Amino acid sequence: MVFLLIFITFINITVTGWGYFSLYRQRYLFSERFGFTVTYLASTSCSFVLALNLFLLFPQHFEVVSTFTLFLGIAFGALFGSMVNMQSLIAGIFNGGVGGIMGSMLGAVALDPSLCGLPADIWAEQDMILFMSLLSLSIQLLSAVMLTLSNRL
Amino acid sequence: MLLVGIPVPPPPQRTIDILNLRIRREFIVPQWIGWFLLINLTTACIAYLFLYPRRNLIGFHLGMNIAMAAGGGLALGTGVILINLFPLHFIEVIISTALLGMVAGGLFGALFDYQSVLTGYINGLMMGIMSPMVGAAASEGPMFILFIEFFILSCYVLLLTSAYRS
Repeated sequence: MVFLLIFITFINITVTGWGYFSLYRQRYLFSERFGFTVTYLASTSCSFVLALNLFLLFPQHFEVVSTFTLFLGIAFGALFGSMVNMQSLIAGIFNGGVGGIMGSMLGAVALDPSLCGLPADIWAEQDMILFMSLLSLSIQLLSAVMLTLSNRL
Repeated sequence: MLLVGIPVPPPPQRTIDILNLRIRREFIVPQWIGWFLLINLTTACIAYLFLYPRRNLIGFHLGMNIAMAAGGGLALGTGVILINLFPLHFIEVIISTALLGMVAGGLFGALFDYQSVLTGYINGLMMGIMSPMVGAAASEGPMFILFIEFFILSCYVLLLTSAYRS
C-alpha cells in the first residue's frame, strides 16, 4: 500500500514537471488572460493532488504535513505564475495555497471520516486510501490532458 | 457519534440502525430536501437556455465569471443536499458531485471560449470535492441547507441579470 502511494506520488510529480516544462518553453506566446487561466488550472490541480498524496503518505503528523503542503502549494503556484506577469503570479500563489489546504483537508477526512460527522466504521481504511490515491491520479491526468489540448485551440 | 455493541433499550428517534451498529447523527435532515436538487437543475437548465442565444453578445470576461459561478454553485448545492440525503455513501457522493461540477462548469464555459471551459471545469471540480465535506460537517438541520439554496439561487439570478444587461 505504501509502495502504491509512493508510485502515484512519483507519477503526479512527473506529470507536474512535464506540464511545467512544456509551458515554460512557450511562455512568450501567452497572452495575459491565457497566462492567468493556465496558472489557475495548473497550480490548483497540482498542489491539490500533491497535498492529498503527501497527507496519505504521512498520516500521523497532521499539523506538520498541512503546514508543509500550504507552503508547497504556494511555492508551486509561484513557480507556475512567474511565467507571464504579476497578475498570474498573484493568482498562482493564492490558488496554490487554497489547493494545498483543500488537499490536506480531503486527506484528513479520508483517513478519519468522523471529523466531518460521518460514521466511521462503514468503510475500511484501505478502501478509502486506494480510492483517494486513484482520484488524485485521475484528476492530475485530466488536468494535464486539458492543459495540453489548449495548444491546439 | 458511534455507539457500538452497547445494550440499550429501543433506539431513540435520531438513530439509524444498520448492520447491528447504532449510528447516531445529531441532526437528520428531512427527506423533502431532495426537491431542491430538482430546483437547482431546473434553474441551471433555464440559465443555459437563456445564455445560448446570447453567447456571442457577452464578452469573454463576463463569460469566464458566468462559467465559474454556474458550475461552482451547482456543484455546491448538489454536494450539500446529496451528502445529507445519503450520509453513508461518502465515496459515491464525492464521485457524482465532482463529475457534475466538472460537466456543468465545462458546458457553461463551452458557450464562450476554451479558457472559460478550463476555468469552469477546475472551479466545478474544486467545489464538487469540497461541498460534501461542508455539507456533512456544518449541517445543523434544514436551516443551513435553505440558506445555501437561497445563496445559489440568488447567484443564478445575478448571473442572468448581468447577462441580460450586457
